[in-house]
Amino acid sequence: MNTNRSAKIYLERTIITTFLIVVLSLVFLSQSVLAITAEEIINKRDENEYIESARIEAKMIITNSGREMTKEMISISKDENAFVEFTNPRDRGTKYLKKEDNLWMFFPDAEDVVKISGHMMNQGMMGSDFSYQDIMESTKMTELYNFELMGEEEYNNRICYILEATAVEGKEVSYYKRKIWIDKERFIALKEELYAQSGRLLKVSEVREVDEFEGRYYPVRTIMENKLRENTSTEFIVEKIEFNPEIDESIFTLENLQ
Amino acid sequence: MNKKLLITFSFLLIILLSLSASAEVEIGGEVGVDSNIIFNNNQSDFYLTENLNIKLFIPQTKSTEVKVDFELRNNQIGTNTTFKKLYIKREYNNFNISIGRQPVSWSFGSLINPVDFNFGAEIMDQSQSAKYIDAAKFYIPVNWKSGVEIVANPQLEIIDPELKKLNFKGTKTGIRARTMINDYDLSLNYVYDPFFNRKNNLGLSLKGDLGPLGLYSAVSYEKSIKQTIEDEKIYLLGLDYSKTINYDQRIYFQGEVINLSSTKVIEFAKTLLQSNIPDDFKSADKRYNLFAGNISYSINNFSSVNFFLLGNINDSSFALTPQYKNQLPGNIDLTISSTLATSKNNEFFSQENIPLSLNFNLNYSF
Repeated sequence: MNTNRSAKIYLERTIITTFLIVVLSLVFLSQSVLAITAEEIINKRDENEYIESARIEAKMIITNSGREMTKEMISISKDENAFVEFTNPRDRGTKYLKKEDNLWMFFPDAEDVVKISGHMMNQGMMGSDFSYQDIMESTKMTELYNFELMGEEEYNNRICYILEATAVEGKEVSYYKRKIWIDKERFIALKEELYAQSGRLLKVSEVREVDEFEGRYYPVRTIMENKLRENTSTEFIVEKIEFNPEIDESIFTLENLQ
Repeated sequence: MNKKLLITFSFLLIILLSLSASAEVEIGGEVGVDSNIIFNNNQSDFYLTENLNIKLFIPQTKSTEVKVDFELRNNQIGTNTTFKKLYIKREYNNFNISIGRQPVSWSFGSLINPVDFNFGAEIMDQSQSAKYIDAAKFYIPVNWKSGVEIVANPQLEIIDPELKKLNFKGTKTGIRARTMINDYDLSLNYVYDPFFNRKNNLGLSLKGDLGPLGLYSAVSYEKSIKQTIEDEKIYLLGLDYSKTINYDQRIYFQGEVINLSSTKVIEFAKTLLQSNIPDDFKSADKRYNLFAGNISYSINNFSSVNFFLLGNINDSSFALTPQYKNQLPGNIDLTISSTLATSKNNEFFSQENIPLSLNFNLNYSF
């Protein structure tokens, strides 16, 4: 009788122990599967936002204390090369060609093609808060910054990962540090704070609208607020975008620029 | 506004409205008013110019493009209409050709360009009327960064204005080969000018980066075929640099030194500053070193200040042109500028040779 009871207790304990081991293993496994690193997050963001080639029709609205200026453009890019043509009345016909590390500009009045000095790449393009680099380059963030996952936070009713990016030593970047809010579900950077090396907050970029294109999310309305000047911002609106279109290499030539 | 101008404006407006309504032709351009006060010998002269610039954007086919850009100016002298562009461009497999009134500009980024097809200055966005010529232009691309441009500019002279008789004077021709070597933009230009002492002009220009600086240089050699004038050599060396101060205020600097003969320096100063520099400064064996500099500073996204300085290193005299630009509400550009010389004495850029001027310009782009 006692032997039977002991056997029953032993069996019950074994079952409970096994169950606990299985549950703990599952919890542990699920934890390790779900734990995502900063690099994985930014890579997933790059899958959405990094452009290998595209044709974009966009608009920049520059606002300064109630005054407004609109610039419209068509941009064609492939790998390291980009071609931008402005279409708004004031700048109509002004074109830029970025081929590898060289930037060229076409002045429509005199139909001149002039090579722009390298130091201009970090300057604001056509008076905006976006630099030539911001507009004409799509670089993978992981090539320029080291990332650290700081936690999670709700932003505009969406759960976001918060990443802190610090420039890779030796890389030329417009902003030394970035704090990025990345949508946990869609892997889009919804907000970015851009800092100087001194730690001073320079600009804040907020995505106001995201669209889905053939399974990838892309920000189509972004506002870049200049924190150094009151009431100054540039809104970048993507009106039309075509990912990976057929692009003839002859687009990226000096002949096409003129 | 006089009657003639009103009729011309109305006529143009009717044509443009009917064009835009009937086809996909788009119209753009600028309308502006320019007032200029020149202070000279204790008196001041006031000049007012109204201008209308119309550009027609005609839909282009895969291989053919037509460009129309004309300007109507009205001032005390009268009304003047000029076509800046009226040409057709056609692309073929290995080259393209454009025929008609068109700009021919061989700029490479300098403030003063001694190796242009026609002498040109790129200062403060001044569009030089000399750039717009009647020509046939061939462009032969070699690869993405290299090409050869050949220009033929036939010139006519009016021999009888009443009978409208024209005489063919000759053809100015030029060839420009342009490529990039080690990220330096390099061009070799040759111009044969059968007019004004018949001369050959050979020019070389290059532009690239030297660390954080932009660096450019040009050499020009001009030889008169008839040997009526001395050979002319011009050397130019320039730098440009930009810096962001206080994180978002941009300052841009460009400066160049040009070594040239006294004949050329007078020609340059007359074109650049509309100066009255007398021929007394001409001397067969004298060479001048000019300094041209430009500093621009963006106050904010809508306004900027710009200082252009043209100086003579030999006698330290210089002329300064400060300029303020502001984009006013309603898409109107306001530009205020002035030109003032420093020296009172008998120096090159003296107040005597370059009178003080004040300029206000309002422009609207549409």
